[in-house]
Amino acid sequence: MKCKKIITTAFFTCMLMLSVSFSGNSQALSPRIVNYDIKVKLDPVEKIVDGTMTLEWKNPSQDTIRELHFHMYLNAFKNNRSTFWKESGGQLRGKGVDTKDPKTWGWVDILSLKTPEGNDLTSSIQFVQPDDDNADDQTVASVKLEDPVLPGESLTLNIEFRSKLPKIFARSGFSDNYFLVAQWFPKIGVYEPAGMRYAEKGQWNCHQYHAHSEFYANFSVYHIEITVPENFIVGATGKRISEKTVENGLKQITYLAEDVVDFAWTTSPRFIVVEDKWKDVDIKVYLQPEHEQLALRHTESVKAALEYFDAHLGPYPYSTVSVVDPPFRGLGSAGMEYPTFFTAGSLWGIPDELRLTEMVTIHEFGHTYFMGILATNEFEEAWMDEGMNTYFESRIMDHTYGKGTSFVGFKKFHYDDKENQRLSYTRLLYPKIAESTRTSWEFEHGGYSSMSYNKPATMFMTLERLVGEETNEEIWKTFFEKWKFKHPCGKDFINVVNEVVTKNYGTGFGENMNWFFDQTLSGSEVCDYKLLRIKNNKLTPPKGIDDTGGNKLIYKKTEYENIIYKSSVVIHRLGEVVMPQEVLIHFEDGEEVIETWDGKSRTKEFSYEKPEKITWAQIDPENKIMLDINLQNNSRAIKPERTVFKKHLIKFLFLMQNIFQNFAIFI
Amino acid sequence: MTIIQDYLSGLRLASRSLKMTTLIYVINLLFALALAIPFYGVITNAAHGSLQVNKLLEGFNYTAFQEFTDSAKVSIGLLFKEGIWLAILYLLLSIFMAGGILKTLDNGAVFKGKEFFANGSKFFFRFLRLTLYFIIIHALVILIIWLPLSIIITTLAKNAESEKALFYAAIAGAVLHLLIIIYLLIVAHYTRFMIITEDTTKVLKKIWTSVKFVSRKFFSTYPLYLLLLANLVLLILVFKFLSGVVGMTTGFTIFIMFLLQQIFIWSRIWLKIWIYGSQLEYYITSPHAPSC
Ligand SMILES: [Zn+2]
Repeated sequence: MKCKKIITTAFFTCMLMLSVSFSGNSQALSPRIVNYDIKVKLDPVEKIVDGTMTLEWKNPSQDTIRELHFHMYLNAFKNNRSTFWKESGGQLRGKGVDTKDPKTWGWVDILSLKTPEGNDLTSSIQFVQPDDDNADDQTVASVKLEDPVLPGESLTLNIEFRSKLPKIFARSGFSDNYFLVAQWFPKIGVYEPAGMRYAEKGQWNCHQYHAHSEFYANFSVYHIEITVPENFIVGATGKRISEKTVENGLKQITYLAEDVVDFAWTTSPRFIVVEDKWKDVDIKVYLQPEHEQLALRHTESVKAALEYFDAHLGPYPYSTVSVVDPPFRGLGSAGMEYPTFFTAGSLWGIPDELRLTEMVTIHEFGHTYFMGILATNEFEEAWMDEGMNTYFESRIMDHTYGKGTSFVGFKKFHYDDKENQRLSYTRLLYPKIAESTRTSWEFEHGGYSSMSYNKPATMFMTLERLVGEETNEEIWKTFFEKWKFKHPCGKDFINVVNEVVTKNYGTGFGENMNWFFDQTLSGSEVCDYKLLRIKNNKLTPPKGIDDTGGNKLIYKKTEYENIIYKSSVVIHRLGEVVMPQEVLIHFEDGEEVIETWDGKSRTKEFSYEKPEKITWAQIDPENKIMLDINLQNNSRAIKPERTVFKKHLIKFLFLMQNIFQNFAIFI
Repeated sequence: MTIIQDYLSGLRLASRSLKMTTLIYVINLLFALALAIPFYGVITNAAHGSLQVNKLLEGFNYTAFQEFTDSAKVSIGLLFKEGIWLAILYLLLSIFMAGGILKTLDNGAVFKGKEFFANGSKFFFRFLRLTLYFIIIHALVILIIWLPLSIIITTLAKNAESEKALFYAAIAGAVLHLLIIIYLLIVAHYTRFMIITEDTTKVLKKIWTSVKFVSRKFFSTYPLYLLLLANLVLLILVFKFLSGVVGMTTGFTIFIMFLLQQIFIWSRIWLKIWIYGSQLEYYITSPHAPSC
């Protein structure tokens, strides 16, 4: 089944790559299922985008297609009946919304949809709700075709659409004259042929717009002509190929983006554009003028990310990276990712030690690899997009800005990105809240971000430390090379892990690594091992009657010349998750013993008879099992060092003395 | 007299008040110890002998810190509640001691234990009322500054192009607030001097007299207080420098830091007496002191 699926997918991918001749100029890196040719004009006063689009779609399957599905995602902002609104309560990203202002709302209408022959299909458009039974949700439209599309054949449609951008409170829209135009046009869904990902038969995979997810689309070629007022500065996915002034104080800018899964753009008269270069990649940052002094923080982190991904995952296949810095009243659109183009986020005067801008820049850039090039399904497997990306974000952050200080780097208060990811998961009040494998709308009672970002990132860190850096590197590079531009699913990643680990270790980790993912990805239980106690009991000489010599004699006292201790370390497995463990045992003469244990039994004891006592012991001394929800209980000393407590005692005393004296200031 | 002379007179009075400083210091230390001793028990127990907490000796470690505070937070929460009551008690005790301190300074800094406590109790209720009035006045000041300012900030948040304006508005509010607090503290101090020297119970009336006095002599009273506060800033800077040099990684350096910290607290109390001394000297030598 597994093999069949891979072969089928590979077959269709190759077939498409060879046969497709959609209008992209360069050699196709991807199947290029769709070609979008869009002419669009922005009305900055009415916040309306009018577009005409020619769409060419290629049937990638062996099926005859009689119906198309389109993302109509701006309708998520149409009213409070949409699934997005219900899931987010209109409060997503921490901002309330003025519902009485008509400008607040956003929508997209297909004004006409015709075939080149002139068949008008507009009246066949119907909204469908594949994910929930919310009949009011209008974020997916179905179009019945009069003439079906046969296997391997293409279909061309001419579409006129009008999009009203919402006032930014989440992801896209406008704030004054700043526009982040994303999910703005009718975008065709993904038709998954049988064998692709989890599809058992050919099917549309076109999800509604959700509070937590919005990405899964075909690799396409976008040829977009944008008309805006002359004083507006424009940035977008892909390469700018022309710019010209037209009448009425307007200008037209044309972009070409190939082998990408989406196209977004931004415009504002206030942007200042900072340019930089990494190898052949042009980096452009569209900054707010008051953030000019933060330009380097953006460009340097983009370069750090490009360098790291290039070395540790795979080469960057595009020639541009565009970073948008939203104004503070448009911060609802910060931290959003689109291929080769993303929004970061910064604030005037933010200290260098607080690396939020760097983190968000690196994170959003990383999505170009996971949501963009690998093009996983964010709706169904957010852990593959957000989780893998967060794992790489933490690696890049720690590599670039230092272990222990990469995220917050103040002298007396600092931590790194990996610590932040791990603690964001382990310190949850209820870390068993959900499995990471749920679809993004199945986290009804919370836990989406911890289970899609923090826990998977911590899981990947654990995997890395278990299998070693070299094998881990091989896993990621193999996965990327094998699956880039092919929409892998979770099983595909696990198969690569199994392949590489068994190649390098045989059955050293068992038949495969499924035990690892079953527990940490599909399971919601926690890992927690505790070093319960250390005992050092003097072995007492035998007492009573000794008849070993034939006569019944009283044992003599002088049996032991030296004191011998019967020492032991007892470990409890508090969580349900089982991980292989190493235990370091330290004796008073400095000798250290490392024991290994499969971690399975509920309790475990290691015993010794030696003239020296055990002074301390530690489970997982190399800190491999980052998923362990409590590292403090992993170690224990017989006589704990008191200096650290004394230090904090006098610090506390001093703090209290000052607080009391501060009270006295008012008298 | 120039404010420099008053500044130096205060120093002379403070230098004769070492015993009084030490008494207040000991009380402060006892109060803090009442929390610190159980705190020590809490942290040693919460660590359960873990080696991870040792990472907090050399410097800061976020993971060790978070996991440790998680294991100690219930007990620390209880300590915190106890701490609030102790703080209130300390405030009352400070109000009590103010009478003793000021009367001692008024008598040329001749410290007599019995008189110190007698004056403390004599002026306690007057000073308590004074403190309550100032808490109310301060609450009004907060309302007057921050109500319009929060309207400005909200309007800016809705309309300004950049967050820079918001930042400046907040900074301006904070600076204004600080300047007014300083003004109120000066007024409160001179009110106490009036109550002490005139032995009056008309607290409210004296506040008003003090407002007039401080405002009329604003360019002496305000700079004098700022000059005296500069001592405190200097003390903090010296302490910060020394603690940076010493560090706290071994038993010995921890002990040295303990000594430095205690010297700091003692000096802080002593500076407070210096402030009172200088201001009192200014008040007494001021020509229209006992008028109104
Ligand atoms: Zn993300």
